[in-house]
Amino acid sequence: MIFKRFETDDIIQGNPSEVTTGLWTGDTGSLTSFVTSSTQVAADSSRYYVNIFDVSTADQETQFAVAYGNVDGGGSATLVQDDTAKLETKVTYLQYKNLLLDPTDDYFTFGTFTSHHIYVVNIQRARTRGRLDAGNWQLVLSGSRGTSTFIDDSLQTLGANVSFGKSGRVFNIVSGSLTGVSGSTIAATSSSNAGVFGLCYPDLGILVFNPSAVSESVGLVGAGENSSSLTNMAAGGWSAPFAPYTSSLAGNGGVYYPQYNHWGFVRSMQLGNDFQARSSEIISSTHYFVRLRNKEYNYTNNPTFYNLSNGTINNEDFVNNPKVYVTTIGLYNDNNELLAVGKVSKPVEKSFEKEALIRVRLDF
Amino acid sequence: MGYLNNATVTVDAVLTKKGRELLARGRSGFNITQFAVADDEVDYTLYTTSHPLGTAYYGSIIEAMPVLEAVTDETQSLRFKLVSLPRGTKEIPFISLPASSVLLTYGIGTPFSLTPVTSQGFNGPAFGYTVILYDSDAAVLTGTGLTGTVTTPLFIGDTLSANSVVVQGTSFTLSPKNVRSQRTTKLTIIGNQTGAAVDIPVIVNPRPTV
Repeated sequence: MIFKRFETDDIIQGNPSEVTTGLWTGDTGSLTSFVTSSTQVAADSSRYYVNIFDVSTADQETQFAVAYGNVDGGGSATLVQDDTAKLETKVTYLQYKNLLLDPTDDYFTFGTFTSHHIYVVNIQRARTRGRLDAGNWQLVLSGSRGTSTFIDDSLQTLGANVSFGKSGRVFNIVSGSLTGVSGSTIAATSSSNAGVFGLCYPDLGILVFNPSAVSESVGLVGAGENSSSLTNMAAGGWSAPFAPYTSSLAGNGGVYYPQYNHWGFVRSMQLGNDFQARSSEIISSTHYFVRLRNKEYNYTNNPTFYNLSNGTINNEDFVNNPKVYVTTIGLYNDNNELLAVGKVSKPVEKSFEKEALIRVRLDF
Repeated sequence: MGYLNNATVTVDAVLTKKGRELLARGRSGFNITQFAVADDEVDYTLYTTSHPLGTAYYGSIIEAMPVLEAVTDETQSLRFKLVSLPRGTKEIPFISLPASSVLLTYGIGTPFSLTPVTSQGFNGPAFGYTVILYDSDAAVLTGTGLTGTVTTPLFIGDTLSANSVVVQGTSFTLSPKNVRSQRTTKLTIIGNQTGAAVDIPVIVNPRPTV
């Protein structure tokens, strides 16, 4: 009387469909504020990576992290230099190598250029939902040699340029922009001397940049920075980013300091001031067709419909021709447990003269 | 040539807490097999038979009302379910109780016995009733007499069930607990076949001091 079973044809499994939204907090597609946390900067974790937030207020949310890896350990102190050294840059390089490359690969290779060091942009899991929407992101970097915009080479079609590795789809990062009739335009597929600009792993939400190639076009500050420079960088006082430092650790006045090269990349992002991206999620929908036949559901337990003390229908017009209005649909299992609820946008009239067909879509 | 009337209404549903819980255990445990519809929010006194524009507009005020978003707790959503009854029905099945309130005192008297009756003979032993006591610290609620096999409805949400007790049956007994001070709560009796519901207040007093 109050429950009706679905028939076989009433439940349709829809085709999985892709849903894209802006990647950043609030589903915005463009991030133009790259804020760091003084708490995180002061923590040991900042020797490995730096978190980037959307705003500086208390409700800030992590958008992504920037890291620098060097397989030779450049940019962080060695155990010879410091007994308590943690080899942060070497750890970072090997961490991403194990995550992203095949077991037989010892180094990241950008085109034909083998690189001993990398910049990594690791987008927070909650932001990407399912994955980074390949072909729909662009990052602007700025440095001493100018400003460059980077995209991936999927050309939004995920066609000829896609390759599948251990870590899912992989695209090259190229110089270009999200403009043009095909959705994106490639300006340069690689640098002059250091191969392609990086690799995009959309299924993991990770961008790996080739520091040598990026520095060719963006221009980065040379080596030899010291701790006071780092302090200035953390405070946003630097006008240009660091260069990745790949040789043995340089010091200032004979004192060795980690160089935190990822700070240079962060500063370059801050100067570029635009990171556009979308998330992509595959949604599986099931459609339930709720069929209210003419003889069904024409009365209600609504207390304004009848007299609670004797059950008589309040409105005499409803005695021979009852009219009720559907606002809510509940989907139940065999145990009569309510599993999902849907609401119509406006009340749907139901009477003996009317049938109603309501399609309920459930995404999960 | 006009446009076809698109008679299909499309609704996006959201999972309830129970739905999320079952889905988390795996797709096999999440099996929607039936539905119910309700007219929550509608007040039928707004059906205006004196509307100046005539019969076509009697329900216009109700039909124009905005509908709130879905609430995922059964106690708040689908409170007033639509029910299928024969045409010409003059009375909606309603539940009668032997008392309009329950007053219990620990250590005195006998437990309160409750046998709901639904008009027109509905909610019989094959269906029975679901009874919710909202304060499980106030009394002990038991139910007996259910013979049906398709009568295990949970008419409440998880949040509510944390502090309440739910039993099913055709007859119920309410025994006071040894409370330290007077507790006031409520019983809700719901017919499993018709969806009719009725509330009665419950007061439990502590053992009297000598």
